[in-house]
Amino acid sequence: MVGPLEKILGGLLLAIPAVLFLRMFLHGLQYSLGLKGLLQSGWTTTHWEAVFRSGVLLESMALSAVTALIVTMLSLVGAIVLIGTRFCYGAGKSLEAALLLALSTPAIVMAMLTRLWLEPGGLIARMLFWTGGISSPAEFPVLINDPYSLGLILCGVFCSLPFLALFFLRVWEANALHRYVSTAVLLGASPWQAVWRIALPMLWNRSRTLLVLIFLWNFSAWEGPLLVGQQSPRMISVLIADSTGEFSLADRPRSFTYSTTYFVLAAAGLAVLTRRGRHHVCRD
Amino acid sequence: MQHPHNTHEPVIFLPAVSPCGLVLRVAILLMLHSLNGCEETDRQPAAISPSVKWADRVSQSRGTTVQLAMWDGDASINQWMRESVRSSLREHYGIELKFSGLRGHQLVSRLMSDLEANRVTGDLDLVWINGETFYQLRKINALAGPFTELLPNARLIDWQDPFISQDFQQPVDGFECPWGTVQMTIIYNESTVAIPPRTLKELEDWIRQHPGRFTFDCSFTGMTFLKSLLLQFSEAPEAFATTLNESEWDRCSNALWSWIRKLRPHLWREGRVFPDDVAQLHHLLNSGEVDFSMSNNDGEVDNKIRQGILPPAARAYVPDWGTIRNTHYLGIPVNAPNRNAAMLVINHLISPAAQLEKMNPSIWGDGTVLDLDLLSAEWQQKFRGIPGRERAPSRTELRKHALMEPNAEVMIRIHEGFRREILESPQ
Repeated sequence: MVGPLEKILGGLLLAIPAVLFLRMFLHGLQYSLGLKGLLQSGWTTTHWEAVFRSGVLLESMALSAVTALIVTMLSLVGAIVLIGTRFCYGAGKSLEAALLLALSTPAIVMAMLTRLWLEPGGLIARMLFWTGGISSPAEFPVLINDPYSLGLILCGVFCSLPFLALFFLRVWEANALHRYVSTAVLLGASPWQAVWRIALPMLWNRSRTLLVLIFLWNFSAWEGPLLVGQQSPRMISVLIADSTGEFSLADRPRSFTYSTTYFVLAAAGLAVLTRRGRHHVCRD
Repeated sequence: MQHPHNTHEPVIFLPAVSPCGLVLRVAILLMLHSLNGCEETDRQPAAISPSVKWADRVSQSRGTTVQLAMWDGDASINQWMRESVRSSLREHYGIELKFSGLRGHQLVSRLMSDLEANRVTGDLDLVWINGETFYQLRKINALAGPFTELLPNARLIDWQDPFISQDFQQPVDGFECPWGTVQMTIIYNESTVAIPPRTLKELEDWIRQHPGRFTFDCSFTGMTFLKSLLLQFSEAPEAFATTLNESEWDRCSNALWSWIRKLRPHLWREGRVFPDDVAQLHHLLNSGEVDFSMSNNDGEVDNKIRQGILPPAARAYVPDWGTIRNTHYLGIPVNAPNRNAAMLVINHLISPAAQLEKMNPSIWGDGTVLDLDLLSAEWQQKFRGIPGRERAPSRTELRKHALMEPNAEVMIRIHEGFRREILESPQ
């Protein structure tokens, strides 16, 4: 039975982070309304009006969402292909070691490596130049800071895919999926059919929440967008970070407008997800 | 009729609340309380006491640490600061110098957050600043001072030079100490550009004739380049001096954005992307992607070729329309924990020995802020004996085309305008 002391401790554990978040949210809201800050102007909605009139925030949100969605989907496909390859061709421990190495590489290093490989003066361009594939750096396709975020997407996949693939490997082993797949193969299915029809649905059921987390992680990623992302529109994290310290001090409340909106939308999204999760539980 | 309760013991009203609920309510009350009165908007700059003797400052600083916030984007500057300067400070004053890599806007943001949180003792003792950073830090009273008159070596500074005594048209008033002086130069690859463009018209023609071979960065150096162009569109450059003339700003900035838009399709990557900073621009020149780079340090071309960052055929020049000349400074944040030691470090950095070392092209190549006439004959001889630059015009030659920095507000508006009018506008 839970005593009053445990209840108080439990309450504190919940209350402290909740209060801190609420405190930060209120601080940002007040700042964006001109009620806080060294250069506060008093109550005003100017910054909110300016933000929604310019459309910069909405563009950034849309870019971040689309990029995160593409990265999550590509990582999912890549992880499935890796796991399938492992089962069909027995890549074994070397694949796991490679994935662990990639997973332990910090995002900022991955972004720098992406840049070193893919920029027109980078490693791949130089190799193409030496082999006669291109005659000048200008002939190499633009993949860094490009308008289609190709470099950014690749960087995101390099970061997310190892995580997802290792998770699949663990699920595979923990649930002894190889037994189900082997049985299916014995009964006449091809290895890929067995993976596709049997292993994949089981992996999918266990990875839905993780995919949402990977989406959110890429949605708010900072290092990759900073180094290899496009300059306009910017990913949401770069937009907020830039607006905090760039240009005119009088515009600083604008960064709080961005972050407050981001906070509200993220909270709303999580609430929807949580509610959907509860419905699933109820139905189950 | 008497209320039934009155017939019994007095009742104390206690709402039915769980322990968790009670904790939550107290926490919310504390939070709401903390929301009020966090900032003082009428803060005054913190004065540095002039009554403390210099010898006392020296003795009090021994064995302490000074945290310097500086732009750390140049390997040779970093090396000089981390090796030579650090060891001489340790040797002469027993001060340990530590570094934080911060750009101007990051520094302003950090100190502003400190002040808003009423953080009386901060992390930084010394900041390397100039221009709009100084302007913004002064605006929020984030700098301690005045202090320059308390530095023994400050009497050797050439205060008569307007390029030194004014930072982006704002008098320094003792709140920052001049450290070095530079002039912007354009760098080109001599093996691909036989005759560099001298006038704006020649530059425009060159860009059109060589699509994809010219660009500028969207950071401090690139924006300084745009400032020098902005002044060319003005019939009255004094309109950008102490007080900004709004109508002249509107007219000239529109002309500048139109000029860029007109040439944008002929710029590197068709003007869709601009290098993040000058280091990336140097890299593009070195890898042969563009034929031009630029630098705010007129002596940089020599040491960057030596380091292999620029190609051997790189040369620096100043076009006929002129380039911005300015000074960079050292300041002390208002919440610096170790002000005395910070003053000692500044005094050391403006000493003839440190200035001479810094001016050597193989170390930094930064111009001195000292008035050579105020130095002894021996020091004068040493300064005049510094090896000349090999691939950049002499300082005397450069100075003929020097433009005064416009008002600090211009830099802020150019940053904003470039993002709004160019980066965020489709072609």
